[in-house]
Amino acid sequence: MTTLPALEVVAGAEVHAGPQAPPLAGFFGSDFAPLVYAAVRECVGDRRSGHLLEGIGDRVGIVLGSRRFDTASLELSVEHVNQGRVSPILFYQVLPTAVLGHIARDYRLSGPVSCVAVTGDARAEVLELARLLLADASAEWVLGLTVELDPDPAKSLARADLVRSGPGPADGRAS
Amino acid sequence: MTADVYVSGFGVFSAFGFGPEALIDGVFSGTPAFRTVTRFDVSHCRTDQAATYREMDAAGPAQGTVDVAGACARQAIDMAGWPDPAALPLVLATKLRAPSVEPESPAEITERVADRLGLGRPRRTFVNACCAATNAIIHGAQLIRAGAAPAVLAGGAFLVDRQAFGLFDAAQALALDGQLRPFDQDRQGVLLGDGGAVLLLESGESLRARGAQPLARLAGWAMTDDAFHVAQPHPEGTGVAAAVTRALRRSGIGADELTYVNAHGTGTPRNDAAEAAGLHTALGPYAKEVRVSGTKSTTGHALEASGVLESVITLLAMRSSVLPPTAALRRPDTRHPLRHVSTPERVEVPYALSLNSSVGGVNTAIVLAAA
Repeated sequence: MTTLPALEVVAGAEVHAGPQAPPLAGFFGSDFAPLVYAAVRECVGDRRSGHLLEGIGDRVGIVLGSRRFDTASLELSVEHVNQGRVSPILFYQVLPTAVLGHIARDYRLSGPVSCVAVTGDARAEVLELARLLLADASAEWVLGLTVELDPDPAKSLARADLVRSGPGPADGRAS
Repeated sequence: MTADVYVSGFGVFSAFGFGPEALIDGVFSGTPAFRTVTRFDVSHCRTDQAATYREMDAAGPAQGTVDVAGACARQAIDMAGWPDPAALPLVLATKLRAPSVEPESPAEITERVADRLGLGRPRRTFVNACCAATNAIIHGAQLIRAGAAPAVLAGGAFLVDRQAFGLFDAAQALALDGQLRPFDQDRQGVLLGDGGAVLLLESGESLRARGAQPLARLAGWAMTDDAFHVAQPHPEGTGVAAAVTRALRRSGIGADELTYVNAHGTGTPRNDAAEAAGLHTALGPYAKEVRVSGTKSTTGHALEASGVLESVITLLAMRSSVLPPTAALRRPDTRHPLRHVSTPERVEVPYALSLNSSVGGVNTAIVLAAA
């Protein structure tokens, strides 16, 4: 039995749909991508200024967790398919890797990218995956993201945590 | 973190049917499985071709996914002779679903598969598009190396459904000539295909303790991102190259020791060109010597499940010493030339690489070693 590293949360942020998450160029009709992007920006800083990921992008992994991901875009895609005409943007936007590719481009992140669907506590699952990535030496920092859309847009929110292996005692539990 | 990870069993499904024999008959003879879709109405679509297994037509996407993943997991357990399903975590790749069409969430599908077989925990669900199943395999390996479990079931399942087909058709992403032709100058795009597979990954210590024999060793893996564009791959395949380089480094072998690459090869102009460029960057002069095939040309693109389906094809190539061809390849790209397998080829395969890429510039690479 080996152990997983303790996690140090370097920075964290939570954002709600609305003014905190303005529209994101290249995405439309859903709060999902703007929320994810805004959470990252709040957590690590704006890409155009000095941010926490500068110079370490090749060692940063991303893990995004959610119950159902971008349900707004998925429902929109059903409408588009029924109409027989799909926006090229929507074709990509329904996939959660699209907004992560946008973030990876803007912050020059070239490490592993995972998306995990959950039934329970998304943040706990995301952080568990982060620990495994760190233990595996696949990354030295992990940007852990969670997002949930709600029928009430004011309740839709995203969270970002930048984590790395911590100085604390290693945890013998791995799951 | 030193445990070696092996494949000790697998189950597989494709448009050719369930089990390795059906897959070998189709893929290794270079026979495309594309046919007219009967599962749903395609009369309004630009093309009517996909690689579907007609006996799954009545299942529906959610139930079909559970049935395919459950059957593949059962095959893997039986093949490995694994005695205690309750000790096995399940890591599955599946697609995202619009709640109005499919109320069951992706993770609930995984729970249903695990409950059906009496599997243990954790139960995880990866949904990162065409890299999801390879991510599931890599995560399974990480669980074993971390000591979370002596063995893990990892795989994915995808059935061609009306929503996926309609989305690709309406976006004009499907090949109108009814052929998926990776790396061909005349390639017109992708075609979808049913697919599913589950690997039983196991630590060397566990194999030794129960006196079992592995089928192959999972020698290396890596995931990267292009950091380039929301939808397009980097034209020089930088992310592919980094994934290949890191996976080879982890496996401890050089490019000269690699015999075979099962490429992502979707038959789309940009993706295939980027993948070929990335292979040249990573493998250097050996890029022209390593044999490459794109087996989506026979199976179709199983989207979230493609990585594990192609891992099984790669494993079968190693076990049989026969390489599956790229079907319908007539005029290979010349800019980054590769040594394509155009007819079944007999060759020893000590090490092989399987590649996948997805929207957002995500790339995965795994290296299998002969056991």
